[in-house]
Amino acid sequence: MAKTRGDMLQGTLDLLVLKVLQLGPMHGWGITLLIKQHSDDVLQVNEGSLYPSLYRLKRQRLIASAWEVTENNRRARYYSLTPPGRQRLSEERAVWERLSSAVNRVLEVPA
Amino acid sequence: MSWLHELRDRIRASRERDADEREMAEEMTFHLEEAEKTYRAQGHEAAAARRLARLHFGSVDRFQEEARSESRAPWLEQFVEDVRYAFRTFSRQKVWAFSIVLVLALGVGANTAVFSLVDAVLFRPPDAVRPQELVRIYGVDEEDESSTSYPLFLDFKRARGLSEAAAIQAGTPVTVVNGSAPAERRISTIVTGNYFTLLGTKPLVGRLLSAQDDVSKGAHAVAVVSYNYWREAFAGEASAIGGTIRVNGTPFTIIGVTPRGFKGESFDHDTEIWLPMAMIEVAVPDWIELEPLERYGFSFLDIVARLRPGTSLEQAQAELNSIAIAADREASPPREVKVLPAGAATIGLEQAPAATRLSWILLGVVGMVLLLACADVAALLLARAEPRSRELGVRVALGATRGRLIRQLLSESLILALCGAAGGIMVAELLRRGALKIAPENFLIPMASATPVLDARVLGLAALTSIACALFFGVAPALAATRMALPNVLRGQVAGLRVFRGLRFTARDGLVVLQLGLCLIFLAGAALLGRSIRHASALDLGFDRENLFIARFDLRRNGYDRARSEIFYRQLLERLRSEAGVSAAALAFHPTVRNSGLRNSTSFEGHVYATPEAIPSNDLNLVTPGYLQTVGTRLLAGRDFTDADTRNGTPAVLVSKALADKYWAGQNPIGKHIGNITDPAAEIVGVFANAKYRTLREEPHPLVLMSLWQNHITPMSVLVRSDLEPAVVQQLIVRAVGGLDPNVPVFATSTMEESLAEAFAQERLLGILLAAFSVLALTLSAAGLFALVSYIVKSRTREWGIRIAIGARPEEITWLVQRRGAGIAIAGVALGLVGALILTRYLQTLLFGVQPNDPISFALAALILLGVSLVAGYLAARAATRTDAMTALRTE
Repeated sequence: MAKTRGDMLQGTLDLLVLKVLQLGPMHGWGITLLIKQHSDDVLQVNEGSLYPSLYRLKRQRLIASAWEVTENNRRARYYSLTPPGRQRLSEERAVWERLSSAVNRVLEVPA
Repeated sequence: MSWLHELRDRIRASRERDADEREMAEEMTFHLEEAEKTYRAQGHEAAAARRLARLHFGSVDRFQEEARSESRAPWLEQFVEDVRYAFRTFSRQKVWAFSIVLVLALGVGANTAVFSLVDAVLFRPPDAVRPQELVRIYGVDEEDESSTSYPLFLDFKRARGLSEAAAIQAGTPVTVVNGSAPAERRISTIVTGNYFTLLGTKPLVGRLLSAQDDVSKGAHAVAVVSYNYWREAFAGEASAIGGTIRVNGTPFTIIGVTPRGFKGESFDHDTEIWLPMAMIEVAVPDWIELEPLERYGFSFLDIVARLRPGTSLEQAQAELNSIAIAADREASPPREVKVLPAGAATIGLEQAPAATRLSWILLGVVGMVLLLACADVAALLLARAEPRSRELGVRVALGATRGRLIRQLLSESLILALCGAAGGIMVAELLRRGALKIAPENFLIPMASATPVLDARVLGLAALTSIACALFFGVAPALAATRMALPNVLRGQVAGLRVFRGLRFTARDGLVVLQLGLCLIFLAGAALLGRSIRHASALDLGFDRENLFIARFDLRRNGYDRARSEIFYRQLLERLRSEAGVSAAALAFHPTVRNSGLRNSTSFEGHVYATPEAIPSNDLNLVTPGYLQTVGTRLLAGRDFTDADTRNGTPAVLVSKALADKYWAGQNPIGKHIGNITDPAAEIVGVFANAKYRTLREEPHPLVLMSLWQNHITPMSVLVRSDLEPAVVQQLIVRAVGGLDPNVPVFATSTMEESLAEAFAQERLLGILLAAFSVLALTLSAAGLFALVSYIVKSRTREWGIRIAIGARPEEITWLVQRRGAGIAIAGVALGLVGALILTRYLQTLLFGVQPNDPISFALAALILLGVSLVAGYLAARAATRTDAMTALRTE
């Protein structure tokens, strides 16, 4: 059911969010855009998942938030990486790379 | 510590909840506007862009719910939310919620009330410091009496395994005169001087007895009084200390007051005055006159002791047994010495188990009531689980996790449980008051020492049982309701235990079967006890129980000697017999059927005894001439006592027919002699018909009546036969006694019928209790069955409609539904019969004239239950026949 899919996505989405925020503070909308752009429109982040992810990361003190003004003079909540978040990103990234290369190696086994 | 930070954050988060909500909304609005802008930039119409943005964003509710669950303190915030939500649910389901609370309250209340009553007998530790070290020592003799003699106590006191030991003669009534107030009967306990030190009791006022108050015989006229007596007789004045009261005619100085509610090691006496052992002669002069305190064979003391640290019960028991054997063998040392923890002293002991046994039976009965209540609550919760699953499904769709929902359902159960517990405490208090009203004065379980309902232990128990009950029976329905597939099971469509020919049992059926089964057990128990009581009241007692009146008084406690007593007795009888409306009057030591009696070793002419120990013990009563006529026992041969049978004449006795048959079968017993240890051989002058003496249960047995004019004993009962009103007779007796000596209190006045009812009090109480629970159980299980059958009817409405449409007659439909209801009822009866067969054995000792598996009682119970079940089933099934074919087909 939805829960299993959510579980799998959650970890990945957290990783992506942390990565995007490594580029600099950003608001929620901006994060969806960045993920979409950098994945060449492949990854469409569901906002219904993004915000829970943001609140969760914030509660884990991996990211921080602050209200700032956008280029268009709109108030928006900007999220930024905290030192523990930076730490977590590198850990998660290593895990991901190990995992994806492992998956790739299996997929590349000649038929 | 990180969890501390988290806690702080969460608390802050919940405090800033409103701010959070606003920020979240603002953030969302920003997001939607940005998305809309992007869509418009891509060339969409304004309206379309907004719609797309919303569409992509998904459910706003879901977003908020998930976001909330990620950002807030779950247990605090959510609990408050759950509670609010639960109350909203309950207000929509008032009857349902109220039923659960009511059923829980009844179950918990019954358990709490009984626990508070039996606590003193079964669980409460003795009233002392370090109660775990305290033990009670019992010397069990041939007669299964459990006391110890004073010299043996002194031997025990020196045992290595005991650090200290005190002897007690508890619950001795004494006549107390306080200043110019009239004489009163008070309960005294005579203790060795070290008693209070051993328990570690501190005085409320003044000082308590010490070893210095118990050195030489007759020299320590000091008394300690209870808090209640002090308040009652001395208005709680400190000046009472140092004051004087006359106990059985001897002046005693009051030295102190025990703490409020002090019970010491014993639960069964409400002691008002404690006297030192050195003064025992004043408290029980008659005994001491009969037998010297120093005699090893004179067992009458209870012993409480403290084990030396490191000594086990078994070690102490072994040591005391060897001491008892080494002690003077002259007069029957105890057969066995038992050392038992003081708190549970009566458990497992042959001679004191009646109270314990009754306590366990009561606990068992209310335990079943609780089980019944639980089954009912579970059924009610299950009944809600199915419609609930739709609501919960919506919430899951909105993003609530399953854990969250279970938590919420459990909070609902918890709230119900707490309401149930609160209701239970009120019910318990009501039941307790009811029990105090219907329980007789000398009921086995001492009502006065019951733990109050507002006691931490009792309240804790109420809350615990209630919560355990609601959680245990709330979890399954909660799990069921949150799992989408489960409604099928609940609907009885999938699984279920196939019993026989198309009868399948689901969880709900099972709960109803369980309720019906328990109900049958109660009904069977009530029927058994009801039949016992009927048997008892129709029983030929050997005397006439009607129009007979009893009152007691005790001249010895007013300083009368034998000669003065006799004059008093004769004058009293003269006065009473001359009253209009009194047809006969007599005195007797033992007023018959009190679950006790007087016994003495008696030898019989023509029988040879090898040793003094071989002389049999025989029941005995001391009466005045006219006793047989007064109580209505037939004289079969010979003559009654006359006023000429005095100390100067030959000792004369009357014997029961059973005695004559046992010792002189086929011979004329008149003129034979019997002897006992205190008197010269006495001649049998008459034989009377067998009559009950100790209990209603006893078989016809040997009984000897001795003439009061030839023997002396106190206290005395006066028996009056009169067809006047009981209150008039009571007044008459009090006036007659008071006219002779205003300082002699008359106590325990009652009719013989009341006295007999008292002898059957525990049976009656338990019978009433079981009957009450039967009615309750019957109501609950009939309601359960009704609900179940209604449910079956409702869930198959469509089928009935089709059947009626194709021409089925209403009776056929009713029968279809009835059959199922009847199947469940029969299963319940079967289960109940098996349970009753197993459980009624425990009632054996309370039954009279019926066997525990009495077929009539069982059949009666089964018939009542089946009848009520069929009516409940029929009423529910009738609804099925009212189904209009078209309406039915349109449903769903």
